[in-house]
Amino acid sequence: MSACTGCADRTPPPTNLGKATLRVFRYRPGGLVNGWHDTFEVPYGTNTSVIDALQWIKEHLDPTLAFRASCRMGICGSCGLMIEGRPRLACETFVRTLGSQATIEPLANFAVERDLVVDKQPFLDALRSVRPWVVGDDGTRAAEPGQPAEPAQSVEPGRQTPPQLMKYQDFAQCINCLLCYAACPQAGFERGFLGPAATATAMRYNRDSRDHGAGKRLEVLDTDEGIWPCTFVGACSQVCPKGVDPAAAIQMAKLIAAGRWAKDMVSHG
Amino acid sequence: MAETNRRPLVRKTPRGWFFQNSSSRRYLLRELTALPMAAFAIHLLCGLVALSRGPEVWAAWLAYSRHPLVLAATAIALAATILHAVTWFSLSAAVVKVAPKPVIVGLQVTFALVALGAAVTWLAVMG
Repeated sequence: MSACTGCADRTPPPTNLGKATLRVFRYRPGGLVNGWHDTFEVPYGTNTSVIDALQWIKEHLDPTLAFRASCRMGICGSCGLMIEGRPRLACETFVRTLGSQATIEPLANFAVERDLVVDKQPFLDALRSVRPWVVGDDGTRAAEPGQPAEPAQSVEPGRQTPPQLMKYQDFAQCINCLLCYAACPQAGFERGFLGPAATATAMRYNRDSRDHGAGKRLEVLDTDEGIWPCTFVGACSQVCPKGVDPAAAIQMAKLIAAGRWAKDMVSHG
Repeated sequence: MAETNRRPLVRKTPRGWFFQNSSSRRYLLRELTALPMAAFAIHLLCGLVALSRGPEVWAAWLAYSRHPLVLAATAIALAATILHAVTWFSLSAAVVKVAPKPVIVGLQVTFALVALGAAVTWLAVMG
């Protein structure tokens, strides 16, 4: 059995780079009202991500530290955190790229349950409200929010051409990591704001050639808490780790809503 | 309803949020361009009123408009208008996005053409 010399060339062994100081936000229900920061010294190397560092803290310094993580490879969207004041995936952020003392906090614009764990329920409610599934022409999957979706009755396969797929493929890359909500100032001011990721998902299905639910989604999008709180800051698209561009999705939805408004104005006199 | 020990901490957006990063500062700058543009619009409105009140008032408004401080304010308004127009037209191109960037190589060209088309239309209308 021979070693892969090519792999060895491409992947240098992790190098110990010393110790980094992490200021980590802490919060306990019933503890200090506004939370506090704890400082930890963490050994790190070239391959140490922020998730690795937090896990090291949990295993060696403070087992009560709470944070979310799962895939550790930028797929699951669980480990979004404010790192040095910027929303980032902790698994894709290496400690060596941070300053000598880095501040780690929970995602902005969400209520904190404990330490670095935020309450994602408002987003999950927003996501469900836009019917994030393909609505068939028979309406069998057009379940109301809060109700389980019916399985599609249609026996016809949903065939698509590559251009039809490309029309929505970029919006389909969203991993619901919520970095866009943490970057959006409007999400902080308007807590009921539908927000970037939910709108991008709505547009993902609206642009799907198999879908027939655009009308129902527009009823959710074209409201005071839907797309209109967006002032096109554009920060959501800048922080998206998957290049989804939710800001563009919201502006597209605004165009559609404005078109419907103009059509209604003309048709109703 | 079941009792819960949850006490979610709701943190308010800090007052100086727009100074926190470069993206927010750029956004703030874009929004602030409205102020010099509004001031210039009021200045023009005063000119219209002066025009309706006779040649003496109109001449006085013209002389006022040539004051160095007013000229400086006009230059700032022009710069703000250009900044706002450039950022607006570059953003408007994103709305017509049709496919993922890596798939269509010419998409950036498409964006540029849309922005250019919007700018030319705007100039034609204003001209």
